[in-house]
Amino acid sequence: MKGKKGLLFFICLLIAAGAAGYVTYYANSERNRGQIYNDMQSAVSHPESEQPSKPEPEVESEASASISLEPEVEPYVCPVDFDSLHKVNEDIYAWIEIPDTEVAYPVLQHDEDTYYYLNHTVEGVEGLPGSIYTDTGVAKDWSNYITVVYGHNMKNRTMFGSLKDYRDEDFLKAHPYIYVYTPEAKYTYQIFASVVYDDRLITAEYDQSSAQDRKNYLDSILNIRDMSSHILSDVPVTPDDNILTLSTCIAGAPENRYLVEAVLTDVQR
Amino acid sequence: MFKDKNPLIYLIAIVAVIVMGGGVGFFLSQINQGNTVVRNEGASSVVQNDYEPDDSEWEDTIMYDGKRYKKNENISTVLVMGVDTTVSAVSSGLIGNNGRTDFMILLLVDKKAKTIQMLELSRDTMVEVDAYNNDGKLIYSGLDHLTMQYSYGNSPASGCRLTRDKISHLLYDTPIDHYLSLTIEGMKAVVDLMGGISLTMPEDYSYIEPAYTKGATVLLDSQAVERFVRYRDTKNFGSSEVRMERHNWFLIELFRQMKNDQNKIGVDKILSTADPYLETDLDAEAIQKIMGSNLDENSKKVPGESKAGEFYDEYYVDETALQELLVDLFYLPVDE
Repeated sequence: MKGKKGLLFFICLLIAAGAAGYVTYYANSERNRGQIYNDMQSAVSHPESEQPSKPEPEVESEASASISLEPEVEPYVCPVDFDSLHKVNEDIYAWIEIPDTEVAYPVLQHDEDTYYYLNHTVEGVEGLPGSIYTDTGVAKDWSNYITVVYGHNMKNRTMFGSLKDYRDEDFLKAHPYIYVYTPEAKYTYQIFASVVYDDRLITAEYDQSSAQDRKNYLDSILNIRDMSSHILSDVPVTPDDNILTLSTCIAGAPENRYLVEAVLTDVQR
Repeated sequence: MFKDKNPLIYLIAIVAVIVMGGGVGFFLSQINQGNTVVRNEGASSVVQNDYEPDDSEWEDTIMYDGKRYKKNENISTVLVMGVDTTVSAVSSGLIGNNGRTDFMILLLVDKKAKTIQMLELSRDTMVEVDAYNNDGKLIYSGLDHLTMQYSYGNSPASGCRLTRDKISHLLYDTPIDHYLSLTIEGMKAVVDLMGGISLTMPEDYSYIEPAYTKGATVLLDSQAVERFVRYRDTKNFGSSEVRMERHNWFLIELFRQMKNDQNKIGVDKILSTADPYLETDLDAEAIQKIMGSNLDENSKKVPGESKAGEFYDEYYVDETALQELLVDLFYLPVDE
């Protein structure tokens, strides 16, 4: 090989090496950052997969006079080890799970920077895959009328990357419940819609303390009519119900979001 | 250094270097776990897709009945409307003088195959009609016949756009690329220009005229054509569906005879005759192209059920059947 050709070849080798190194570095870093979620999922018990039956509706327990009756409502025993989770990050305040899907994650909230957990993992490491989180100031007892939970649409289906399965109406009907656990309570939500939405900031646009705004928000969901969205009209939901919105991005459509909408049907304390 | 060695040496060298580069990258990422720096120019850019891995599975595909489909990019849509201007629409105190759409047919123009599929909509389809005032402000929305939406436009063009958008939404946000509307008067003018239209009755239409028995061939002038398309036995429930069948068949005949006579009269002459009665966002060239396509005589209908309303027939869409039809018409299966 002549001198010039040899130099050219050497430069190509250098570029190839650099490219390989960068790609490997970046991909493996992302994998490392996501590993904590695998560890957490293994550590948390999955009560719903052990009890596949539908959640019991909350029933008033009998007045406990002198006769000790069997209580009709089981007292809530939190299946999630929040003490261990808090050792990793104190900002973890809930655990969200959709049975028979990949969604099983801690829910975080930063008390100052609302976007912090978009771009930081539960270990506080910057970069994808980020965390599942709510905006600063959102009620941590899930008592807001409208609660939006955010997560990235990861290609490897972690975080909210598996929500795209709800594009299939059969999948939606087969996976209707979302469970949220806190140390104090278990919240059961029933999904009534999975829609392609725009990128408006829901919490900025709709004041959840206004009945008219809540109606407008609900109407904006229920009026959606396209082949990628589904509305289950047989699930009752009104502007006075607590609505849970799971929000994630859509690859190739930066001005849209994919939302899974669910209504609170049960609280177990 | 390399002299004239086997080119395989170079290939091995490249592979080896890539592997070494990858190895170094991996090693560095393992020891650098806490320090990854990622651009963070503020919330909006973070939420953008700079970091969302490209998931081409989503783009332009839908899931239906467990299978994946992709939009057929060869199809463009034209909404053809027949406007009845002789009746002024009265609804909840608002009077629209531009008329109502008596028939609506969506043409699915396949640019590649050069065919046109027709999708008919019943004028009595019950939809959320948006009522506007003369300043274009939305007053209210309520369940009403699809034919009424046109009447809330403050001009023929506005009526066309309102109807187009309403139908697009009815069809699960299927984009409607163009519209063309012609009044009854315009249709009559075209028929006169063509010297009448010859029809061989496919069904027994003798209830309109005794001569219109099945199989009879009749030459209709413009007056007869008007009677033929407008005739509606309001005493008979479901008569608007029968009328729709007549419209559909008549449109095929008109289109075919316009195509056949094209050399004699020419699209330009037809268009200039129709012009005072025509409202469209298509140019003459685009119309020529459509005229050059083959019309699929098996038209489809938006599926649903007729029910007797208080005064008029009401047509309620069957959503499940409609979705299936839209997948069939607008989507192609994606091979997995």
